[in-house]
Order: sequence, then structure tokens, then C-alpha cells
Amino acid sequence: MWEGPRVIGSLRSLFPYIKLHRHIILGSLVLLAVTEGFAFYTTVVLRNAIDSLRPGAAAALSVGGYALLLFALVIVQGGTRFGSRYMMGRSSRHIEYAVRNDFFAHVLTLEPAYYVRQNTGDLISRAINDLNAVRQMLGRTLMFASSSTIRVPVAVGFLAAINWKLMLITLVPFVALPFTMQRMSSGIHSMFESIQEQFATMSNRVREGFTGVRVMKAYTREADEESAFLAMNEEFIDRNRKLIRLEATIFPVIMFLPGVSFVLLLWIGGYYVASGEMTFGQFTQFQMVMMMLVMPMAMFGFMWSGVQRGAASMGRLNDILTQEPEIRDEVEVTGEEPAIQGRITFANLSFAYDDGTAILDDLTLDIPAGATVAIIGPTGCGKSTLANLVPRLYQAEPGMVMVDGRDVREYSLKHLRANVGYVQQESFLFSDSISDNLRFGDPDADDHALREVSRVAHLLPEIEDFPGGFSTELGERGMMISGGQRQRTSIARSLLRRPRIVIMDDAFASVDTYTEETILTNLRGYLDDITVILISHRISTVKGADTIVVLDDGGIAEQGTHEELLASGGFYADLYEKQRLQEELEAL
Amino acid sequence: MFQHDDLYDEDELTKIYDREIFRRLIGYVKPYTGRVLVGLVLILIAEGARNVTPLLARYAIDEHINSDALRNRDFGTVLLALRGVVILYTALLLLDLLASFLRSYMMQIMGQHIMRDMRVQLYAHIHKLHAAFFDTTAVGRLMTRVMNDVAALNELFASGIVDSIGSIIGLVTICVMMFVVSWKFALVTLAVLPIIAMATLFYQVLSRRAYREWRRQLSRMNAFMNERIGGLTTLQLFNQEPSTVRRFTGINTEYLGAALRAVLAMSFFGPLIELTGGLATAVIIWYGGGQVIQNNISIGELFAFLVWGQRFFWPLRALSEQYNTLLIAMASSERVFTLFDTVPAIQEKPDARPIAEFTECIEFRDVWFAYNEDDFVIRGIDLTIERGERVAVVGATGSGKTTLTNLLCRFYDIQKGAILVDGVDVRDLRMADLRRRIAIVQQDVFLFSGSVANNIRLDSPEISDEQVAEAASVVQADRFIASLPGKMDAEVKEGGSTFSSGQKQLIAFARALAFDPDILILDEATSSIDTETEVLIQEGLKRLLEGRTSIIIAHRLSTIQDADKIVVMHKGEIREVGTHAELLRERGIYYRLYQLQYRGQEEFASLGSDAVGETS
Ligand SMILES: Nc1ncnc2c1ncn2[C@@H]1O[C@H](COP(=O)(O)OP(=O)(O)OP(=O)(O)O)[C@@H](O)[C@H]1O
Ligand SMILES: Nc1ncnc2c1ncn2[C@@H]1O[C@H](COP(=O)(O)OP(=O)(O)OP(=O)(O)O)[C@@H](O)[C@H]1O
Ligand SMILES: [Mg+2]
Ligand SMILES: [Mg+2]
Repeated sequence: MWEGPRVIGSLRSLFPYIKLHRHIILGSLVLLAVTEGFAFYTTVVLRNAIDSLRPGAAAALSVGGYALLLFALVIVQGGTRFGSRYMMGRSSRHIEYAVRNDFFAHVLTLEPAYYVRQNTGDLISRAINDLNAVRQMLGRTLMFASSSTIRVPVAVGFLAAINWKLMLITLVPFVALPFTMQRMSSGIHSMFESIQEQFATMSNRVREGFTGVRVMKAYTREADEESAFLAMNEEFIDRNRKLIRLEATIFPVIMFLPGVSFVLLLWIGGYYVASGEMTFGQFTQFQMVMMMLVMPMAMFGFMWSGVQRGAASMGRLNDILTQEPEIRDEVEVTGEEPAIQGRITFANLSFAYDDGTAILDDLTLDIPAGATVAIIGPTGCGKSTLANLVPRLYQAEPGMVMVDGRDVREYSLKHLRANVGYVQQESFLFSDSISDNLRFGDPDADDHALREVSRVAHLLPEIEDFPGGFSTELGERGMMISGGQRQRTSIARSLLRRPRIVIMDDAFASVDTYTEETILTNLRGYLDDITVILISHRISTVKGADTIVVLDDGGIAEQGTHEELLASGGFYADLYEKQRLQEELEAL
Repeated sequence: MFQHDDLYDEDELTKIYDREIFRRLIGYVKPYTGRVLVGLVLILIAEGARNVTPLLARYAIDEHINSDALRNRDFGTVLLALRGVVILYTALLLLDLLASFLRSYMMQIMGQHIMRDMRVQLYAHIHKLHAAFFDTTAVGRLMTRVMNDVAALNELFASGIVDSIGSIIGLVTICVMMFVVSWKFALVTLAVLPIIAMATLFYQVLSRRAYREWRRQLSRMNAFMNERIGGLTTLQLFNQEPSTVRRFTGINTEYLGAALRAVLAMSFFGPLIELTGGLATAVIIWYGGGQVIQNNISIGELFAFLVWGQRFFWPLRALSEQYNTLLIAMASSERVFTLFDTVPAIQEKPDARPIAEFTECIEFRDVWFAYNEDDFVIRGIDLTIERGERVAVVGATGSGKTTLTNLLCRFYDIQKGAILVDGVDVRDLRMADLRRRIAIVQQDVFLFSGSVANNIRLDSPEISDEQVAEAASVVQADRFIASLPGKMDAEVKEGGSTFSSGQKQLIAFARALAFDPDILILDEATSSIDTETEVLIQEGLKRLLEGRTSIIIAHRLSTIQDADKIVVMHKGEIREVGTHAELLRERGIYYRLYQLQYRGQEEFASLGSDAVGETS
């Protein structure tokens, strides 16, 4: 199977990086050529040295002289070889470095919808393991490729000069070498790809196994998890088996074919020496030059295998790198963008996720700047979906979501998001200190501001109670503080940026009512005329809002103030009754 | 709290001596001793075959090619004379080919097996570690150990160990042959060895640190990526992409630095070994040439020595590479073994009591607990929960409700007091038994990628499809599951990202029911679920909870009003215990919470925040 075009296609994206380091790479190759030159010259010296041993031979140098010359050559070669390797190793590392930076930067531009499809463990595996394979290919392959291209023709020339007939005969097996290698290594691309894939799958399993370790432990799933992981490892071995068989063949064959050449040399060359057509020194040189051919010839094969591995991995990187972010700045921003007042309009909004089922259907809602709007509705009715559309985590068709009467697409993402304080339903904190987490959106915020938002989020007393205060470490995902503390940290974090629009998606689910009330009261004092969207299941959260919107079946079922909705006797009134009813039943 | 400079960064590795590491590495080969032996035999065959060939060449040269007998004879005669040598030579080559292939294949497969053993063991070991370990250890770091660090050992097992033995055998064979042919000559050739020894020593010092640092940075990088990609949405919402890239670049730069130092060491070592090979050739010419001129040795012998000289450096070069492999493996295995050496802080006693069923009561007896040193978050709790009781725990956030459930499941061990289940201290119980009696819906919902059904039964073969469906229907999850393509088999993406938070909670809830526990713990299990569904769930649960014990943590009091016992926690202490009616009569914390939730805001204002302030 000729995989050439596929391989080149995968590797194309690497060229710009190589180009960036072309000087060092070139330098390395030049040094390599010099090394090769010296190596050949060494064989000449060696031949002359041996021939000088013949009784009565006229020698240019004494044996000691030859030895000294050889010695000098060897030292110089060592130096140039070191230089060449180091430069090549260095640039391949630098390329790896640059690709990894770009890869990660690119990963960050992709929208949440992409990450629904793409596993994190797999991504990391690409950034580390696949890139590793690419780097190995770069370093070794480039090195071998160039050393082979220099070595092979020169060596063949040398051999021909010594005895061209002998060269033709002895090189037959050598010629077979690259072809054999190529033949054997076809399919490596797909084998390797499938191996890397399995590796990524395992990485992902491990990732989830550790992230969900608290569930594993609670349900004592450890033993079954272990056997599931074992099965994945077995599969990994299976996928490796074919490649191993192939690669186990390659090296012995490399050693075998030149061996045959040597036999031919001994046989036919023996005749030439016996017949006096060749000196013994020439015979020796012939052998040495031939040995120099072994590796480069074999390398053509190896290289091909390496290139295929590299290309398979580069292909996996390209899968991500060529993924254009669907949500990105759509307008050329010139100069200052207009300050956002905070009016939000959903105009005939319809929205469906990738799978096509409509979540929101022809929803129209106008939220004036400075208003507080509460959204309530059954589980899974699309409240969070609606909220996601404002800061463009997901996006609807143009013209459906507007801020200050302008399509959200007409703002830069940066500007839009800086003005929307979105407290997501599930708070994600980072494994830094509490102050780092609070400062997340504004790293330059001063301590005063930090205390202020902590106060607003009713977090300050607790932080002050922590032995570490603001420098308390939160652990990965903030697992070292309580659920309610996490939620409030996340609220404070959003407020620190003083956004014009605040969206709280069920942001009080894990806090008690008193804390909730306090925060809501504080919020108004902290940010005066902002627009607030409150999503909640609790009547107590929503009842004070200017407008309460009941979302159901993808659209607005009811809309009005607490009193209006109660009077209209619909879903909201029913909900209220459900909570009232319990109260009355239990009331004293 | 823990004071960690950087969670991604490594704790100091416990110092394990090289010899110890090596001994443990070899331990992994033990189960495969048979294969290793076969591998050694094969390598002996291959090396033998390979190294006899120069002798053949010498024989051919001295006896035929360079001899007067064949001088100026015709082509056919010469070929015929060399026929035997040629056949033998080819046969040896074939033998070499076959033995090498078999060895390489066997050993590589063995390497894969050892990696599997190690990985699975490590994975299982990490799962045994105590919960607190996971509080302070980034998942990405653990991933690096299990995946990358173990992978770095592959080469050592797949080729390193056997091949280096092979190389040593090869070296010895060549030495022996050189000594047999001419001991003086052999000594001269070997004169370069001290240089190699010095180079190796130098190299070891240089590279070891580089490799260590390299692995460390790799781990950091993995952890960083893992976390930041996990929190990508947050990142994007806060426009922190540029700063994150900057931080990543910082880590990547350190990684690069460490890698470059390794490259420097490696680029130095390889050529140095080759250089010594060249030196040997020079020495052979210098010494051997003189000997030939003085007719002390034949030119064939000189040739054989030249070939051996080259050959001698093959295994040597191979050894140097294998040594490098070993150094890399050491750097990685150090990390792996350190993890293996981390003992679970929470362990089962050897004579732990089994418990088949929960029959009597749970008792907290003056329980004191601190996550860190003496920052107590649970302060002297006394509480008895009878079998079949429905106990609600309420209290301000951070008051220790979740902690209480963590202690019951023995995720953490308490510092003072005792927690008894049926009169037995949980520390004396079999851990798996204890946890099997309890099912907990954790405050933080975690879904695994897979299917909905698998998330409910967690791959447990003991839970039938019917049970799964039943559990889903009790928590009202059946309605939305029915609308999914594939229903119960619908795909769950990483982190359950295609479900709403409420839906995720329902699935986690169903999971707890499916496991049919004696004790059910609901830690804010319905916090993101609408009231209507919640009421339905409560009705369904009533039936199901018959005879079971439940502990329900909730902020929404509507969930817990009819509990048998309501426990009000405040700053790690129990302040009030009683039924709803009792507590309302008491007019304490619970009463105030209740007021807040059910009366209007006006009343909240008139109540004054001082009165309730105490609750937070
Ligand atoms: N893993 C941990 N390591 C250190 N401290 C912790 C850890 N988990 C919780 N804490 C601290 O212990 C205290 C009690 O936390 P806990 O999670 O039990 O509160 P909670 O009552 O469940 O609160 P919430 O209602 O917010 O969930 C808090 O101050 C919290 O910061
Ligand atoms: N990324 C996604 N891809 C596909 N479907 C999704 C995705 N996110 C959510 N959904 C589906 O869209 C519907 C609405 O989800 P959404 O999160 O908006 O609900 P919600 O009203 O916020 O519910 P909750 O009260 O539980 O938070 C749900 O049925 C959910 O399964
Ligand atoms: Mg939601
Ligand atoms: Mg909690």
C-alpha cells in the first residue's frame, strides 16, 4: 500500500515550523556532511595504511604516521558529529515546543460544543504522545535521511572506483534492502494510528477513573474498574502485536542482507585479490565502505517506518489544528467598542444542539437594561441553554440574540464576555488559591476589591475563618471547600469584573436561603444598574424579580411579576402552591 | 488548609536508591523468567553466529585469498575453493536472522505485558488511596504516572534488559576471540576502555538530573492541560485564553529546557562512544601494522582485528544506548515507585469485620474531625440514627454536612470519638462491605462517558436492566431518558456535557437507588431539580425508603419537612435535633431558616439580619 500522498499531506503542516529553524537544521546537515566526508577519508587512510604493510610497498607515511592521522580524523569527526546531533536535537525540540504551544493555544479557541465531541484525555494524549512521535520522526528521520543521501552515492562511487564489477555484484542484496524495508513497513501508518488511538482511549479512562474517584469509592467499583482497565490494556497489546512482528523482522533483515553482500565480497572479491586484480588493502577498504552502507540503506526503510509513524501522529494533531472555531470574532473591531448598557433581546429565538432536537423554539423576550428577570421552568427545559447564548458559548442564528439591540455576533468575544458575568450552573474552580480564583477574570484586582466581592458573595467571614485566609488552596476543581463555598467563590469571581449583565444560573442551589437573600441584597448595592438574569427552581429566589419568565417546551409559558403570575393561576401559581401547600400543612 | 505552591508541581520524590529501583524493576520481569531465558539463548545463538564470522573471514583470507595456492588461478577454481566458507557463512547469517527475529518479537511482547502489569497494578493502587490524597493531587499528574511514565519503561523491558545482556555476551565473546588470536593485540585494542568508563560516568551525572527534571515538567504540563481544558468554558467566559497560553508556554519552556539538557548529554555521549571506536582502529593500525611488518602476525589477523574492532563497538554502542534507556527508565520508575510507596492512609484492618446487612443503628459518638491538623470542621458530634429512620441534615453552607457523610463512608478517618455502625466502629469494618451498605448521591455529580444505563449501574453486572429502569422511573428520569435517541443506551459524553444539570442529578440519583442500599445518603440530591419533579420523586421514594435508613441533606426545606428527625448543624456542631414541628416550636435556627424560605421578603427584612446572621 503506497501511503505517500497521505503521509506528505499529514506532514505539510509541519513545514512552516521546520522553515523557522532552517538555519540550524541546515547547519546540522552541513556538519553531518563534513562528518561523512571525514568518515570516507578515514577509509582511504586505512587502505593506504594496510597497503603500506606489504613488503616493499612505497608508503607516504610510516605506520605511526597513519595511526596519528587516523587519530586526528577520529577526533575531528567526533566533534562534528556532536555538533550536528546537538543542533538537530535542539531544533527538533524547538519545533516540538512551538507546535505544542500552538496546539494548546488552538485548543483554547474551540467552542464548548467541540468539547462535547472531543475527550480531554484524548486531546492531552495528542499534545504529548503524538507530538513526541512527530519530534522523534523529525530528529531521527531528517538526520538519517540526509546522512543517507550523502553517504550512499559517495560510498557507491568509492566502491565503483575500487572495483566496479565487484560493486555491482555485492550491491545486489543492498539494493534489495530499501525495497524490502518499504514493503515490510507498509501499513505501519494505520497500525500506529490505531495504537495511538487506543493509548488515548486508555488515557481517557484513567482520567475519568481518577476524576470520578469519589464515585468509584462510594460504590466500591474499584475491582470492576480494574478489570475493565485490564481489558483495555489487553486490547492495546493486541494492537501492538502486528507492529511488533513487523518491526522485529526489520532489524534482523537489515543485518542479513549486507551479510550476504559480505559473503559475495569474500567469494568474488577473494578471486580478485587472488588474481591480483585488487590489493588486499583495497579489499579491506571495500569491506569498510560497504559496512558504511549498511545503516543508511537500512535507514531508508527505517525512515519510512518512522515517517509513517510521525505522519500518523501529525495527522492526529492536524485533526485538531485544522478545526476552525465556529464561535469567533465575526467583526473587524476598530477602535473602542460601544459600552454595553445591558439590554438583552431574544427575537424569535430557535435553537437546537448538534443532535437536531429543538430546545428553544421561537422564543421572544426583551429584557431592558437594568432589569432583573427570573427564569424558572422544569428540569431540562432549556434555561441554561438560553443563558449560554448570551456570552456566545453556543450561538443561535444571526439576529436572534441581541445585546443593546445589536446582534451578539457584532461584538468581539472579548468585549461581550467581559461585560457578561455568567455564573454557570456548575462552578469550575481551578487548583489555585482562593484569591487566584477570585482574581481569575482580573488578575490585577487589588486586595480591597477582593474583599469587597467576597463580602458581596457572603464569603468573607468564611475566608477569614480559614487558617490560610485568602491564600487557602482549593484543590483541583475546588474540591477542598464545601459545595456552597464553591458556588459563592464562583459568584464572587464573576462579580469582580463588574459586568453590565449578570446571569446567575441556579447559582444558589447549594447555599441556604439566608445566604441567598444576603447575596441578592448585596448585589444590588454593589452593582447598581446592571441587568440581572436569575435562573432558579426556588420561588424564594425569583419572587422579587421585575419579571418572572416561565420557560417550558422551548418557549415562554408565562411571564409577569410574582403577583401577576399568581393571579393568572398557571404553572407558576401551581408551583407556588406546591411550596405553599407544604408550608400550610406543616404550619403551626 | 494545605499550603501548596502549585498543585501541578511535584512533591519531593522520596529518595529511592538506584539499586533499589533496579531491583524492583527486575521484579516485574520475574513472572517472565522463562521467556527471558529463551531470549538469552536466542541472543547467544545470534551473537555466536555473528561473531564467528570474522574467524571464517580470516580463514578464507589467510588460507585461500591471500595464499599462494590460489594465486592467479582461474575464476571457477577460486570460487570452488571458497565454496565451503561461503555456505557456512550464509548458514550462520540465516541463523542470526532467525534468532534475532524471535528474540526481538518475544521480548517486545514481554515488554508490553510488563507495561500492562505495571499499569493495571498502579491504577488499582491509586484507587486504593485515601480520599485526601486526591484532594491534593492533580488528576493530570496521576495520569502521567499511569500512562507516560510507565510507557517510558517499555523500552527497558522490551529490549533493554535482554539486549544489554546480549551486548555484554557479545562483548565477552569478541574479547575472548581476540585474546585467543592474540592477547597482546587484544590488550592494545581494549586500551580505549577507560575512556569509555569515564565518559559514561560523566554522562550519568549530566543526564540523570536532566531526565528527572524532564519527567517532572512533563507531569506538570499534563496536569495543567488536563485542568485547563476541563475548565475551558470558564476560561473562555473570563477571556483568560491569552493568560492561560502564557502560563502554558512557561511550563512548556521549562520542559524544553530540561529536554535540551538531555539532548546535550545524549549528543555528547553517542559520538564519544563512536570516537573511541575510531581510536581503537587507529591503535590497531599503529600496533598491528608494526606487527605485520615484523611478520609477527598475518595480514588476515590484522583484518580480523579491524573487523572485531568495529564489531566490538557495536555492542558497546548498543550498551551505551541501553544505558541511556536505563537512565530514562530510572527517572520514570522513580516516580512510579514513589506512588506505589504511598500507603493508603485509610486501610482496612487485617481482621476487619464483615457486615452483611445494616440492622440496628448508626452512631456518632463525640466525633471530632479536621481535614488539616487541628482546624476542626466537625466538633464533638453526637448523633444516633436508628435503622429505618429518615434523618435530615440542614445548616448553613460550610457547616460540615457533607463532611459528616464522608466520615460515615470512611473516606476520611476521624481524629477523636467514634462512628459506629451496628455497634461496630467503622474502622473495624470491611471497607467494601460498609460502602456497599451505603449509597450516596454526592453533591458534585459525576457522570462517566458511556451510556445512561452504565452510569446508573456503573458496569456492575449484578444490577439488571429492570432494576436500572425501576430506579430511573422512581427519580422521574425515565421521562427524559425516553426522549433520548437510544433511550437507556444513549451515549453519555465526557462529564455528561449533553445533559442539563438537573438531568445529571437525576441520573446520579437513580444510580444510588439501583444499588439497593440499606442506607441512602442524599447530599443535595435534588438541588437543581424543579419542584414538580421533586414532589413526584418524594412520593416515589416514600415507598422505596420503607425500611431503609436515609440521610438527607438539603437547603430547600420542603424536601425534608416530614423527616423523622431534623439535625441542624452549625459550624461543625449539632445545634438542634427534632422533628419539624418540634424545631419550629423551639424557635431556633431552624425556625429562622424556615421563615426565610416561606415568608416574603418583607418579613425577611423585618426579621433583621442579626437574628439569622448567626446561622451562617
Ligand atoms: N477536602 C477538604 N479539605 C479541606 N477542607 C475541606 C475539605 N472539604 C471541605 N472542607 C472544609 O470543611 C468545612 C465543611 O465543609 P462541608 O463540605 O462539610 O460543608 P457543607 O455543610 O457540606 O457545606 P455546603 O452546604 O456548602 O455543601 C468547610 O469549611 C470546607 O471549607
Ligand atoms: N451540549 C448539548 N448537546 C445536546 N443536548 C444538550 C446539550 N446541552 C443540553 N442539552 C439538552 O438540552 C436540554 C436543555 O438543557 P438545559 O441545560 O438548557 O436545561 P435546563 O433548563 O438548564 O435544566 P436544569 O434545570 O436541569 O438546569 C436538555 O434536554 C439537555 O439534555
Ligand atoms: Mg440548567
Ligand atoms: Mg456539602
